[in-house]
Amino acid sequence: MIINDRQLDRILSSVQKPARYIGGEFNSITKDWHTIQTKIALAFPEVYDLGMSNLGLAVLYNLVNEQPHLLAERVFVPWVDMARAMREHNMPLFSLETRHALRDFDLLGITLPYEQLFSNVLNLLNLAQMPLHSADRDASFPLVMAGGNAVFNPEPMADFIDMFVIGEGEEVLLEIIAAFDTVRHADRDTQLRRMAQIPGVYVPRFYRPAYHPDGTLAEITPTESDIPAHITKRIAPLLPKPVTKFILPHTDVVFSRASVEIQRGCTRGCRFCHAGMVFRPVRERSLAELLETVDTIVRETGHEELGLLSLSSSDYSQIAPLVKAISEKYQGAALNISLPSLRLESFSAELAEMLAGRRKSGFTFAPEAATDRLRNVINKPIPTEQLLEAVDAVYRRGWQLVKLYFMIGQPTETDEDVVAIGTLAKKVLAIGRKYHGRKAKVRIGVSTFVPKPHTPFQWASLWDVVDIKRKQDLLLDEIRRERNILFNYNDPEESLLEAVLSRGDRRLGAAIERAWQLGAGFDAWDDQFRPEAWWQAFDDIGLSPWWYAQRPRLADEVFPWDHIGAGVEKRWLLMDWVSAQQGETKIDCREHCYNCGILSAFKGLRAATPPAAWKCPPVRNPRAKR
Amino acid sequence: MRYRLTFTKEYPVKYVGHMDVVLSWTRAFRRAGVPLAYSAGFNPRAKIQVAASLPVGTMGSAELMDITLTEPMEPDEILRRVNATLPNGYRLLAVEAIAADTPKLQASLRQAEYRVTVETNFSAAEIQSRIEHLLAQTEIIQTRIRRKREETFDLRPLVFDIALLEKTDADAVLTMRLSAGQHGNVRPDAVLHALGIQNTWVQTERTKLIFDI
Repeated sequence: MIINDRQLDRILSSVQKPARYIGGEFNSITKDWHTIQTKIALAFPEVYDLGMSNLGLAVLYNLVNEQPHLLAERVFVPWVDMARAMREHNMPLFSLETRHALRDFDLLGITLPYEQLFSNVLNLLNLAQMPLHSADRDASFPLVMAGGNAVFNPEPMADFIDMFVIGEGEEVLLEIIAAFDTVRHADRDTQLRRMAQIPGVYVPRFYRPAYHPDGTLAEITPTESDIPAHITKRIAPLLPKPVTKFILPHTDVVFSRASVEIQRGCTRGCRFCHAGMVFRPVRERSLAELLETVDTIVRETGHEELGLLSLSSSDYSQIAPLVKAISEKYQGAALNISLPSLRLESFSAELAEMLAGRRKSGFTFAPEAATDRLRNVINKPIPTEQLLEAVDAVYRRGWQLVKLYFMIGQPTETDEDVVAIGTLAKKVLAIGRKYHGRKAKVRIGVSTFVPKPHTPFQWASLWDVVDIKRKQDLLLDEIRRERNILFNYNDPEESLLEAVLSRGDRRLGAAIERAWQLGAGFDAWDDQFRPEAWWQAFDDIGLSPWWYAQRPRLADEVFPWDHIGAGVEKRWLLMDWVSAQQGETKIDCREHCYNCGILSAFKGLRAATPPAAWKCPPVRNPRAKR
Repeated sequence: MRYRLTFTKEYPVKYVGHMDVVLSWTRAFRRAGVPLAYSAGFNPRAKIQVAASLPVGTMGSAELMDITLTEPMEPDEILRRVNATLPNGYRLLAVEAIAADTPKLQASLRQAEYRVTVETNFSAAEIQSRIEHLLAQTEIIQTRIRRKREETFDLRPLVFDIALLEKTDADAVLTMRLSAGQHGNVRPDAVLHALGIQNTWVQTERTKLIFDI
């Protein structure tokens, strides 16, 4: 079914920002529907303005569309007003490129980078006029798969998704599509049995969870003999070709920029950081490739904003030459280049200044904790002195605003650690005053720590909502009298939901569905998040948010994500969790391999890849050392 | 170096708002290697001046904009290069070099012509008589929302001409010449409303801008 111009006109005349729904943007790819056999819809379960900023979606879109025999089209979740209008007109959710109903596609791939998108997946399936449950969809419906960071614990969404892709989608998507073609006319079970043979693919219907009487998980086991008991993530041994033909959205989107991934992964080992654990090993792009990529992007998009992406830009081995070359080449070309995640050191100010030109709006650092002790616990050991020197360098070079990101509610945190955030902010402001007088400003962004699966902190408890609010107030009191310290913090109920969904099991599916029925959707939006719908849903289903978020977890507890492998072993995470409580730190693992498990998990791949491509140092034989 | 460009804005970009239209053109000029001049200051802006912004949802078949370049370029070269890199729905029809002191278009806009296609059950005769009736009035008081306040205004002096161009089974095609610009601006839907033509679907195209120069 295709939605024609006139049908679309009828509803677009009554909605906000209609340009979200029209497609045809520059660099979007529209292929001839009738000459192509296998068609995939790629969905980001958020509104267009947010989804169009997602690099993962752009990577997969280009990867599939580069294949002459395949076609990928984009789908986003219509905003509330559009969704209402579509339901009134009985109009199914359609793709942006050719406006085909989602049901007309062979496959539907959903990107799930974070858990707040779960309720919107149900929204998306329902608007597509498809049954919500995987079990209720036969082979006449598109095969629904999901990937992205949030599916490293796929269990909460297991009821709704036919198959999960664990790890880096660009490595496995074409393999999945090719396999689908061999079973395209089979029934859904047969199709999925074939899919389950692909490394990195998890098909939840072939696994059964069993629980202990106290409600904790006993095991998750395959129901059929040829189904793998353990799924290891897929990784690209070398970073694939970067995207250059970025689609230029019709409307001003949230992060309106083209982006280049300069490296993937991070060797710092911050214990709270999900991305730092699941994106191992670290892989870099060469300087030459990056410079060429930036050139090509500018030529093919005309973009005025470009982001150099990585989890820790300062750790890119060629960062200084890269920044220097780019700043020299694009001086005066009306191109703003952003470099996120700079380390807390004076050199960062030097780097950023080369790119900033006249525009020095604000400089961001993320110390995450304000005391040396707590920074050791989370393994982000930066001495306070070094932090203050870095801030000094930033103000000295002309920035008037320094933004500092912290988390509260981390393991072992005391009230002193919280108050110290305020004390530190005041010290920072005093430095700013030296250079800018009353114009100096500090903005502190304080989020709530949420324990994530596959990290050393997966055993930690979320602090109680009441405690978090008390800590926020404590901090607020500390800085209230200082008008030039700006303070942002998040709603602890958001964190509670995130914590429940992050470490949930398969039983949560019913609660997610109930919450959606009660009106949950767009949970990442402050004005749309409905905590009361969620708590009502847990109550109706008979599940306790407290049990999922705050219950202490024992060292030997079986987790719902234990059969999903991110490469970093559970025994290593546990050792690091113990180290954390003793305040022991680990240095950058490029300097010293702690044997996290990634090299044994990908032994074959490592051997087949040039040694310099991964930043893991050679592993010393522990016996030989002795 | 100033140039005056005539362009179209059609389906689907008729739904793109004015600020985003300017951004789309800026990027197209950049891709085409047309050396746009930028304003000085903290947030440099490309020197692009559109004669009259189009309401979201309205198409334009002869819109005008002035651009300033840092170095001269042959008008034909601009036309060729930019047309090769425009998003679907935009097309550049003409480029001419103009003197640096040519008055700005915005200030001298007086009228605009429209072609309005509307879904209606009315017969051609019925529409014709309604048009004649409207044009025979000396005053047509309507209300509209402006700056979040409801206000009344007289539509009649803003309407110069209305004609029925074509009537098919489902649609009527009307042409209108209406007041536009700073001295009184009115949209074709106000005229449809005054004609009592209910629309379940309407497509509006601005076909000509008329200036007082």
